[in-house]
Amino acid sequence: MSTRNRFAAPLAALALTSGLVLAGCQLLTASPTNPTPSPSASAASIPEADLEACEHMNNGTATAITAVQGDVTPPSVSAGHTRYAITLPASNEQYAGKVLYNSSEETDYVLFFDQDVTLTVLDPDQQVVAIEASASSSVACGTVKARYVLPFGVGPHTLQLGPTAASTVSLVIEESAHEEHDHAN
Amino acid sequence: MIRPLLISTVLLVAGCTFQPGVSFGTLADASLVARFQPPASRLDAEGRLKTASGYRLRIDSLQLVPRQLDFQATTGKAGTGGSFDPANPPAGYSLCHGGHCHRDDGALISYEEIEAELSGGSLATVTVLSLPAATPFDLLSGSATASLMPAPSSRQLNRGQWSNSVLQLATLTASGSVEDTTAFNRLGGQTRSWSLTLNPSAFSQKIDVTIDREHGERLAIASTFTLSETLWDGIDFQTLAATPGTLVLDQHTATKAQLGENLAKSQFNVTLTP
Repeated sequence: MSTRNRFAAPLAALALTSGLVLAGCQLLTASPTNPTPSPSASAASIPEADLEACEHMNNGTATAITAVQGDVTPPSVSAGHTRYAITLPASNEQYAGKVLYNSSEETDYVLFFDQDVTLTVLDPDQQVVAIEASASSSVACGTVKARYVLPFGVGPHTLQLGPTAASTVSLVIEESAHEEHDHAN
Repeated sequence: MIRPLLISTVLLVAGCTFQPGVSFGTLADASLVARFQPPASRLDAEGRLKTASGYRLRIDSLQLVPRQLDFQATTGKAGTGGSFDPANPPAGYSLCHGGHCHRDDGALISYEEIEAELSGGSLATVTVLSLPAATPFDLLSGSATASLMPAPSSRQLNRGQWSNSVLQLATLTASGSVEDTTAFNRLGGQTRSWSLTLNPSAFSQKIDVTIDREHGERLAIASTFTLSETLWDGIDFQTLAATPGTLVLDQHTATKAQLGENLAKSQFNVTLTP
């Protein structure tokens, strides 16, 4: 009995020390060494349309067109995954013009501009399309200075750009519910 | 005594091994459904098809004539590092889409075969089942179905690993009229008649089917082809309308190319169930 008592205290201390060391190791291991969010988690919160638009806005060559004024059929900006460099005609010491987007699907589209340009959209019946959301930036890149979300039906939609101080603006149009595509195409 | 017993045993075993003419599988059913069913957003109040550029098309006839449905097996060895850009295919190939390219001699070659060729591999495609399908489909009704079942004597399937299915189409013909009801009035208020005759490219879909006794002996094939409602998108009817008479869309080079590009957006799907 006395022998057991004599060794009980050192054994308890040893067990306690071992437990603390092990617990410490586990706590150290569990502690985050780098508290910053993982890149994948960050990218997951960026809309796919913005990622796509920024890629097209920042890379590759642009298709150059000149917008029109008056009752002329506007030039088309309908090619998918394309950055259009639009030259705007002068208008009252500023610049403004019209281009045409031929929508093949009834869905929400996001229009990205590299300039702070005002936008009015007319549907195929020449009725104004209400803008669902607008912003002066994109979370995906700093190139975007204006971002508009609009519901398009099937058919030609007239985009009235400006008036703005910029004589040229870059435009990329993406479907809001963007689908993956092959950039080689 | 032992010799007759030995002979009997050998004959019994041989009898088990050499059964008379049993194949590894049997084709239980085979069908092709062809569809043209534009969504409501593509139709106006009069049932006319709306194009992306705002023209309204009345379609008076729409007929698809298929040629055959093929199933292929891939043999040989793949190499490594033979990737290529379908938008910029290697010499001898063009029109890469849907998993295959057109070789200069007219053959359809899968991406895997081209990659194998580029990397020194030796993949080759062999057609293991070919189902003729020459019945015309009237797509004005929206959907039509044809049986592709061959004669009973041709329903036996050999052992193999199927990797690809290819739907060959013979012709697509259509006719109707077109108007521009938008403010652009690109046809000067006229209604113009149009027609087209196309020889579509093949459509393919990868599959992974094993034909052997472990994977069931009866195979049912259900295939569908859905013609894209975007077929007439991007056609410059205004330019075509400068010439009098019916607008024969396939006789204008740029228009024919646009039609081919739009037609490639059609969907081909095949389901194989044991």
